[in-house]
Amino acid sequence: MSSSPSPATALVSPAERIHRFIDELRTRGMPIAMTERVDAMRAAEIAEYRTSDGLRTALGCTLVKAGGHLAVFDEVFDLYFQPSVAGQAARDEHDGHAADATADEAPDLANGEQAPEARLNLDHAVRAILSHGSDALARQVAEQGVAEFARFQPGLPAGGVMYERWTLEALRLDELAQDRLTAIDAAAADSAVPWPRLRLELQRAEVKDRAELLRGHVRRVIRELLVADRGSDAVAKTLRRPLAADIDISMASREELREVQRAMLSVQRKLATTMMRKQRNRTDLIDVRATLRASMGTGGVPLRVVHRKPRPTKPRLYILADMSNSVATFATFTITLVSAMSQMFSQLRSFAFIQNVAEVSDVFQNIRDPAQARAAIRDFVAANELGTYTDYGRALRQFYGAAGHQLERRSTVLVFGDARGNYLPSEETTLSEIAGRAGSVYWLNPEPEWLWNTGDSMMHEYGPHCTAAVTCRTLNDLRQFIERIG
Amino acid sequence: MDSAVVPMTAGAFADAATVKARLAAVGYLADDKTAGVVSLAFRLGKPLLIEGPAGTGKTQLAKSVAEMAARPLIRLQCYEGIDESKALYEWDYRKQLLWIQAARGDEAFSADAVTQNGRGIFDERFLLTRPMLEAIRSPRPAVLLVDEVDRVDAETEALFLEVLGEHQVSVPELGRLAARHVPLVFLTSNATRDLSEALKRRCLFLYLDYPTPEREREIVAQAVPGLSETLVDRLVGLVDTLRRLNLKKPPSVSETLDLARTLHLLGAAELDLADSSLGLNVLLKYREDVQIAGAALAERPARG
Repeated sequence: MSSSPSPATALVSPAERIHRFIDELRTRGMPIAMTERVDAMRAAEIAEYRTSDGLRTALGCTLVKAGGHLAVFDEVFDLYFQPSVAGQAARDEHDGHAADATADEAPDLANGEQAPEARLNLDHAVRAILSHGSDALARQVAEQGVAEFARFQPGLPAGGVMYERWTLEALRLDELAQDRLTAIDAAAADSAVPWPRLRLELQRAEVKDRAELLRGHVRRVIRELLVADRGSDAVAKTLRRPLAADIDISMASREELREVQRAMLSVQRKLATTMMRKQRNRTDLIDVRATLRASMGTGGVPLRVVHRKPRPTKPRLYILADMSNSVATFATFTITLVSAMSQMFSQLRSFAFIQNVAEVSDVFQNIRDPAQARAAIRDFVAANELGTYTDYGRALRQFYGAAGHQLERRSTVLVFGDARGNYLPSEETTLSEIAGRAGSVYWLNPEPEWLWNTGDSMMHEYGPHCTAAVTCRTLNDLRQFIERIG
Repeated sequence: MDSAVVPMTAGAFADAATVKARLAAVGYLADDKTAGVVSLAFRLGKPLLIEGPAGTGKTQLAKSVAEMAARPLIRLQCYEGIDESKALYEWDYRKQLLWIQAARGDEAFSADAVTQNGRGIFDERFLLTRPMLEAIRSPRPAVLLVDEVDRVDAETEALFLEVLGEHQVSVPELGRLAARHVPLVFLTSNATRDLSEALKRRCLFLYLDYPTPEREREIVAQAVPGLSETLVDRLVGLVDTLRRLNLKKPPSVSETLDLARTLHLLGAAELDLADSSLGLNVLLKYREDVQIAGAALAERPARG
């Protein structure tokens, strides 16, 4: 794309570039050991550079060891390894497909970078992408669009988001996508033979996918410009986002929440397996009868010892969650996660509160998706008039009234909240009664510890009564905590 | 460690394109990335850990590689509770006891001679080789498939490390049994739990996700040639839509092929509304999923 490499990226040997790339991955949170680094270098040596993907495959299979890290790897790879000459060659091959989109050919040699290829009529081209989808064409459109509309200024410390927005607006991508969707609906309505619902659904999904494809290409082109201008390390630093499992849930943006939701499924599965295994592995008693029977095969000598199968003691879990805005997202995530594992607990009851307490066990019954859960909770809170400002003391009292009689040695109580009671009475005696009856009481606070006891936070009063009071902000924290109580 | 003989089938793994072509010849349609990683695994001599949703062809990849390289496939199916005696080796206690009892009557019998190598009970003739040891000691270079390694306990995983890393098995009584030929090892995992870092470090990693619609079309076309192109299109479209829904178990490639074969068997020419519900029952394995899918497909009624 850009003719002269900036000093930051020039004259870096391939090996050094790979090392920097691996360093960046480690900074992002991917655990890469020394042996894996060595493997990556060995693989890169024998990788095929003829295909631009050869290096990506080689580095990917040696450095990425978990499915959830693939996205981060791809993003950082694109920053450090620009599409090579081979990529250009592949694009030239596809020029034949691009021919039908270049309706208004106006070879404009003023735009020097586009000189070898004819300039596209962008409107036409975007429509072609939305109806037929072509990776090479999308890339071409992205390059031309960015060159014309992004108003890129080298040296300016602007983020890529502005450039992306300007380019997409100028290309009118959203409008054209909507046009296409309307056209599809119209075609379905006018058709003599009624379309099966599936066909309509599928075509709509395809249009959305192709729009996303074009957006992705625009983003990539802009990143390349930024990297050529400032160097891979600098751009990587600005883009540095944590892995999904390390995102702070209460402060996450909508995008990040979606990522965490995606990661939640695999966490649910893994937690379920771990906790099932824990229950089954507590074997320390010998089953004498079975051992003797097994010893028959070895002449009466008990060479194989059979252990008695443990009878699992499933805990009973009671959750009391603060649903005021600051904590609600986090609480919803946790309850969804725990509800998905309801077979792990012989009884699971969840309560939501702000000023008043209401039982929400049924709301979470079959919901696996945190977004759905969030909506359901919002409706529930509005419908049941739980109040507007949190009153912890009152909530504890009401909870004790509702479930206190059921608490016993095997019960575990989890309280989610920031313990900020708006300077209302804390009623810590109620909490101590709860703690006395139940086996254990845990307090999960989404605030970091240094914020506890500031302002109206009452952690210092509640803390002593709890078996443990922990900070729990990310998916990883949640997972570790649940493994601990299982 | 690298003193093992390089097998004659080296040419089959020379690069990604060759692997892809050879796999296609035995009926497995791999994408470029998969072929590239298989080639690298062979050339680097490292095991390959394959992760991904169920039914995407992880086990089949190992079988196809064994077929195209003309190597015997040795399979170890992992389950919870598997231990050394099922995975590596076991001493044949019964035979040993019988031998001792028979030899007791012998005049030359002495307690020391019993435990000597070659003459006593700790001899290779009493050693039952299980899949991992078998793969290492095989006279021909083999392909070892360790299926569903995530079902194994974390403690048992440690047993695999020596085999995977150094291609040898330590039997306390016999010493170290090194590999005659380095096997090509495939480990498959459904990601139901995190594998230990030590295991992952010794392997290359491949994530086999659901295929793109184009590739799925090719796979179906190859497996069930009798279906019309429009029908294959509709089928792949249905499966693609279902995967976007938030289902408990999204349909994978094996389910797609099942439905393709069902349609072929029924002689169905069109996948219309009536067949869609049949399709849902073949593709989805949970009742709640069938309900969710049915509701989602009914949201947009066909107009006209």
